[in-house]
Amino acid sequence: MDLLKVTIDNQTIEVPAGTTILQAARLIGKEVAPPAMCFYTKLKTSGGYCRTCLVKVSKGSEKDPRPMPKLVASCRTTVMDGMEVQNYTSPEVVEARKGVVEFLLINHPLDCPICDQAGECHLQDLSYENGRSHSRYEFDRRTFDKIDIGDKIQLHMTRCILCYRCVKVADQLTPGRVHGVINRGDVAEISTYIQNAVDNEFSGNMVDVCPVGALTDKTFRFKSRVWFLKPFDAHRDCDKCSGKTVLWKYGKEIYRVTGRKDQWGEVDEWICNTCRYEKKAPSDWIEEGPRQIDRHSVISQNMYEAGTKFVDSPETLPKKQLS
Amino acid sequence: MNDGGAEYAKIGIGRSTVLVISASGNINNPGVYEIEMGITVDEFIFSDQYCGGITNGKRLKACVPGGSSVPILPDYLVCKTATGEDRLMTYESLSDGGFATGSMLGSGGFIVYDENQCIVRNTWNFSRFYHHESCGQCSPCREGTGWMEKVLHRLEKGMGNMGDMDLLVDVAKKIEGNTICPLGDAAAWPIAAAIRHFRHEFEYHVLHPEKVKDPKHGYREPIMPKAPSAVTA
Repeated sequence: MDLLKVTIDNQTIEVPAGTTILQAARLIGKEVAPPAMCFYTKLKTSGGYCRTCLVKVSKGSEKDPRPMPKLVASCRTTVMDGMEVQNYTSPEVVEARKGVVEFLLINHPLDCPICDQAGECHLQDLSYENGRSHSRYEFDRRTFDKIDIGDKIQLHMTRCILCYRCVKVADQLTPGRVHGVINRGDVAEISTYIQNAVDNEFSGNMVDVCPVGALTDKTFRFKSRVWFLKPFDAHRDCDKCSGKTVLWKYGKEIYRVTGRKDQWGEVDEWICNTCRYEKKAPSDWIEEGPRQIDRHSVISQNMYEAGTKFVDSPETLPKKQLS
Repeated sequence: MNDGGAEYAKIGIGRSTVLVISASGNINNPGVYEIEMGITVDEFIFSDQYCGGITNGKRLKACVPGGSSVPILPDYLVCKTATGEDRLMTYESLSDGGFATGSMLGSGGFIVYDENQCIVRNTWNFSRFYHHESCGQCSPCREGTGWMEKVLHRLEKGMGNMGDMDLLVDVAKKIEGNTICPLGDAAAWPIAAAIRHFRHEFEYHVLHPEKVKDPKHGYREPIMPKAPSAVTA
């Protein structure tokens, strides 16, 4: 297949046809990749909702060099040969993204001190890296009636940013649709149909895909902060899923089990609820060793034992931290 | 249409041929009119064949020429463009001057305001509509329309402050063009335009909270648009 040449923030890469701008940027590296709150590589039709990945296409393609009139969602726009894209180099994009982050935060409760997601929350990272330092919103934040969606997952609707990822998981990973979005506009909320409990073998993955603390692990609720735990790669023979997981341990005790997430915060392989919720004894697992975590992550603040390789060579550091 | 394409193309000016306009607001003959494009806006508003002029002989204050989503025009820009030419009922003429001094013909929802109408209240009403209409898929529109409505509600009730106008313009700018569908643009344009042309009226709402508590305050003290030349003088 022919490769298409695309230039993002002055860095050129060749990618096969059908690649989106976001995926091409991720291939180049973290310093040009736009943030994404709703796009998830493994979920079909995800993306396009959150608008944090907006980029400016300054040259459409080699054949038609006109720039695109508006900023485009990079997760949904495929590259063309000779396309030139501006992400962090365009003040317009940075300003628009700042606006999007502000919009996402105006109705977010900012209850990070009591939120289980704190420390591994994509919205925290997003607002820290791309947002403004103060809020201009002076009204009551919206609230919702509490809904119990089962004994495995805790729903905090106020924290939801309506990324639709969990809806796609429910749609694509589990038989039968039990989870969707009801209402519209700024009163839209995720909910299970007539409040049925979400109980099927892969529903736990909704917790992993949730970028914020709207869906959290009920069995891990208020047990610990994620940065006090040490993640270890582990696996077990599972007849339902790959069995490849991360154990979050404090001492010898396993506090929770999650899927393995790559550097973009997306899980490599879905895991089943048996692995996630029922296997919490150390004897259930074969440990592979400590998991590598970006040393700038809040999770790595309590240093690992010797033998763990830190990712700290100057080439791999994000540029803004170097300067 | 029965006479063939060539005959049809003779109607109107250029790309603008015939359009069904739904005229409403403070006019003597509100209704739906099929017009041949190319007549002047002045003729459309004041001739008896169409709108029949402003009710009770009042002054024209403002006009939304193409449905609630397009920028509102103050009196001095409705019938004349910024360059002093007659404004015609065509797509091209109504968008003359861009958004700074022009508007759009849009879908032909023609709304006329007389001197007693409150632009702040009207803008709030529009934003309330777009807040309600937002589907909630993409974040700028879902969150932004509600935010703008709340700020405008505060201004309308006389509880706003002077920074609100700049805040609204900035929020509108952040929504415009960044959403999936054009509803975000449609929510942002009328607010940005109202502040562009009627900022003094928003300021009046901040400075005279006790007067604007009465929704009919415009009937006692009409606030007319200020042309840029009048502002500098």
